[in-house]
Amino acid sequence: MINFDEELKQFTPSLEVSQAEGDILSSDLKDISDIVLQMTEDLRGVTR
Amino acid sequence: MAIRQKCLYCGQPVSQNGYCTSCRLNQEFLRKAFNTSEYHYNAALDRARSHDLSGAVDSLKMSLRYNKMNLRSRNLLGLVLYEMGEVVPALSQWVISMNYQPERNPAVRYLKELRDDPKELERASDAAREFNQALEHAKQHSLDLAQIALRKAVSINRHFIKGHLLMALIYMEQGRKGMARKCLSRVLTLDRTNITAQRYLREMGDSEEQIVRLSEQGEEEFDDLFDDYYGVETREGQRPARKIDPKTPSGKRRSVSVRQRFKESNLARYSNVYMFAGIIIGMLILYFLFIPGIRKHAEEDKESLEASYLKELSAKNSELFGLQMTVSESEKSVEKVEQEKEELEKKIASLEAQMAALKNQLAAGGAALLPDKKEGSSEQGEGATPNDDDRADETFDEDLPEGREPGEENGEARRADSQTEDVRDNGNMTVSELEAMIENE
Repeated sequence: MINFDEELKQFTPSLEVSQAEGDILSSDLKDISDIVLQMTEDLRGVTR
Repeated sequence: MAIRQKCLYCGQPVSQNGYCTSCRLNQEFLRKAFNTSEYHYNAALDRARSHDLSGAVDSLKMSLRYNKMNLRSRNLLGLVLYEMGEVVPALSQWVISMNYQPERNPAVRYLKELRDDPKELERASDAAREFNQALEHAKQHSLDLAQIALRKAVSINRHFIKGHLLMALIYMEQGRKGMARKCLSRVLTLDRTNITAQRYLREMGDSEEQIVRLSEQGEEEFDDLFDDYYGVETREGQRPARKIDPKTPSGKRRSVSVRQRFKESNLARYSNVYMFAGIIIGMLILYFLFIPGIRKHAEEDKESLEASYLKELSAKNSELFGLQMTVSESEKSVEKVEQEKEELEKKIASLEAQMAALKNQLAAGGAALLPDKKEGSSEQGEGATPNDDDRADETFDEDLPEGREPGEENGEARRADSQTEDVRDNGNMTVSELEAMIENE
């Protein structure tokens, strides 16, 4: 059975054009290379 | 240590053992990650081609997690989001892609097309605003208001999958399963494997076969979605409430695509209209540009003519005045002449009177003297004597009145004789002259 309020929570507000700049600046996608690099740097810091 | 190639991640030189000299990342590892990214991109491309948009989005996000600089994945993600009605996230993906590679990037063209059509951005923004309002109304359980806002949003952007899903949810909450099914059918047409739509349909009791059928029928259902009379749902056994819509001759309803199809118009058909429009425009130009100049010239000519006429008129007036003056002078002279004439006539009359008197005197004096004179003349002619005066004195003596002395009588007589002689001579000249003058006048 569908709970209306619970389903509504899954809907996020849609972005308007004026909010595009903020959306671009806030998007900080990390790929696997970033994660590995971060891990290696962390390991280096631990070993030192 | 020989340097062979550049790092796939940072572009710095790679050492012989396969590690970057700068970021220390293993190049083999990076190559595998990039290959996996390409694999997910290919999967996303297949899904997008089969209208599985949500699956394509998932694959593209996965592709970007392996390689965030995979521009093809990012551009495709933007396209898929744009197709789903998410314009601003699509814009974000294209802007990021353009920042990674400003040249030879399809994202630049996408952004340029969007920038050249600002109405499209306005429509997307309006649709997003209406959706957000509808979401707020739905959270406050103002379902009617939410429906109105969602109808606006979906009418602005018909590919707005989130809007269709929310509308279906509201219909389901209101118990209007038919309308909810139509909304979900539309969602499945756009996005065949939309998990949310499938779940809603399952909740409404539809089987998998029905779900697949709905996704196939979605295009036709979408045309009918807004034709229901204010969204009144038809119950079983009840006639559907629809707006009156003229049918095509074949009896089928005209689809939106047919009505909106561009029809090439024959411009030659309107040649007469263009010609008349050109004539009217030409006349208007003539009226507004040339006629004022012509009028101005005409007024100037008129003013110059008036000035010349006024000059001539003043000259004529002065000439007339001079003529009038001469006329008055001539009249005065005529009057003078007439006065002189009258005076002369008076003189003539007086002279004539004198002449008549003298004639009478002459006649009176001559009658007495003429016979003697005739004799004397005859005698003189023959050898007259110089005592003629004495004889005249004698005749006068005979006529003397009584009581007067003869000496006196003689003196007077002599004077009268001399006067008569003068008058006789002068009188004859004066009469002839006077007659000539009278005739002249």
